[in-house]
Amino acid sequence: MPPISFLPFLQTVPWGTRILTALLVFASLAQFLLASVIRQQAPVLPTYGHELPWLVLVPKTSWKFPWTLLTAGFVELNIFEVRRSWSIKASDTLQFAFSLVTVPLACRYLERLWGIRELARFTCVVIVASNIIAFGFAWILFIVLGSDAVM
Amino acid sequence: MTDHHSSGIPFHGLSALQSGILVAFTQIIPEHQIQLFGVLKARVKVGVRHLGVISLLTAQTIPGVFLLASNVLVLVLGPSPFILIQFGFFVAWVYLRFFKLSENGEYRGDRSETFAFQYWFPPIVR
Repeated sequence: MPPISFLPFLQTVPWGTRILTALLVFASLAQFLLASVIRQQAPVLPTYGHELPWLVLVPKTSWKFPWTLLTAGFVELNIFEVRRSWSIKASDTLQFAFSLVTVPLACRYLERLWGIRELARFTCVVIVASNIIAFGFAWILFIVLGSDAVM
Repeated sequence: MTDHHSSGIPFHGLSALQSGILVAFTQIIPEHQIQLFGVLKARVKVGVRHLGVISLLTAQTIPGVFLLASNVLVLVLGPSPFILIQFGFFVAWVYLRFFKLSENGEYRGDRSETFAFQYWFPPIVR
């Protein structure tokens, strides 16, 4: 088995995929760091995930921040010190690792096939439209069920 | 702002894009072959000679499995990021079929017969 060297692999990654991966890592790290800062300073402890309503899509308050339709797609919540059930912690960390591995590989292939503009357009359309549908879905559930648990 | 009493997790993550990527792969590869990308790179050609269960596996199996897993996970772990998989699948299919500009920019969408919505379901249901 020949040794796998990292640098030639990096050189074959096209530009759009690099930007996409950088956005993913940057947004997730930003959420992680800023959330821990906010937790220390907030007078009332916000529930897990709700610390940054201007970055992730909180159906109750994110109508004030319309850019979250796009930025929420790049944030993968990862937690290390939050008191939450172990299954959600495990699933979030797994999601982050899974996204970090699969999305760059797949986008590398798609970018060679489609070109960077089509890939950017595809990414934005899928993320924004599915976030819009999820937003409306959460509001419909809230109206129907009347409970706050889905927000 | 008052504190949030809500216990749900806000929507986040690239789950929708993962689902959209699977849809895009299904559009690209031919109908009855499964190729596992990444490390494995195994080519599994499905023939009618094989067992009855395996001969049902088509290129649409992988996104189908992903969708099914997301249904289960939504019920177990809450809707937050997993229901985006369903929406992402639908949005990606609609975009690729009706709105995507072709390479020359001549026409929109991929109106080939094999990408119609009915082909996501196994041959029995069709």
